Amino acid sequence: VKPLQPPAPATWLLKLLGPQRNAEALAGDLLEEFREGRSRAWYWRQVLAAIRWRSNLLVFVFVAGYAWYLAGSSASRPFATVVVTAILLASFYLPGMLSTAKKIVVGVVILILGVLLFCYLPDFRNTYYWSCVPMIVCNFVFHREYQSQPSFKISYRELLFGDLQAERSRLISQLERTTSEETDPERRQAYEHSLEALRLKSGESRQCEEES
Amino acid sequence: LFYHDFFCMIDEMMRRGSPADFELMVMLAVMRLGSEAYGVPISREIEQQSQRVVVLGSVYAALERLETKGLVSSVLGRPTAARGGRAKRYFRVTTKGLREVREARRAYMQLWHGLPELEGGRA
Repeated sequence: VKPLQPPAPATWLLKLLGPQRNAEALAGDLLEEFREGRSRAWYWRQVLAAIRWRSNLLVFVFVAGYAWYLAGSSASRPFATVVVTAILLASFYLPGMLSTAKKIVVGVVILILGVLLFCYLPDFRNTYYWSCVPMIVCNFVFHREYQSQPSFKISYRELLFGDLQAERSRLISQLERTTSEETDPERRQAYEHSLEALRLKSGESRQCEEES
Repeated sequence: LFYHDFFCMIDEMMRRGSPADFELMVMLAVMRLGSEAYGVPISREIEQQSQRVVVLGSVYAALERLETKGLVSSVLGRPTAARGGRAKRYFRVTTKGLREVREARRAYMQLWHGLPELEGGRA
């Protein structure tokens, strides 16, 4: 039996306009809940609530404004604005849905196309539409997936005076990550034992600190 | 407790990047769930305890803010078929987070203390 699938447009919208950080975890959670009997309407509501409307609106306003400025005072200004806005928006959002190789290929193709248009189409050169080409190419070539922050950052205080408790907490979080990523059961168990010992030690020293 | 003290306390909380109301609820839910704290159980826990509808997206938004402040940390679990091959992200309250929760409780208790309107069953 094929497992129940949530509405595809909603999932696509979540990937496109949803949060960058924790996007996979959120999508997984929504799917898990949906398969446990939540309705399609519930899924849609959750997706619409998860979309970062403010930041996406900001991008839209910036892009539309730039397109309006580029279109100048020609008779076809509204049409040109819509087309340029659509192209620029696609260059903002599409890279997130492509693999690195595809992003680079698309970026290079657009660059070649832009150079050709610049050389052989005087209208393209004179109306400053060419300025969109470097922007689009950069969006494709330099787009990076969100990488979560490293779990520890050393503070100046810790660096200068040393903080054993903070060091333990860092070791614990690092070991937790290693344990969750380990596939070998024996090694995983060994990591878990070390984690328990560290947590115990950490708890004891915290208790001593509180008592003192 | 004078109004001046109240605003000083709020100022102090804001300056230190203390958790807001919903963030505090999320942190408490994470603490209650222990090692099983990921998006779905966290939102269910808040729904059950506070009797209000919780959107998963807002739970993650709060968790992101808390992680930026260093009050919670997270690890990725294993991807499972039930989740379409997506991994769970487990959250844990850090030592700093625990300190902030204690501090928030102390501040709230101090604010609640001695309010005649809140004593007894009726408003």
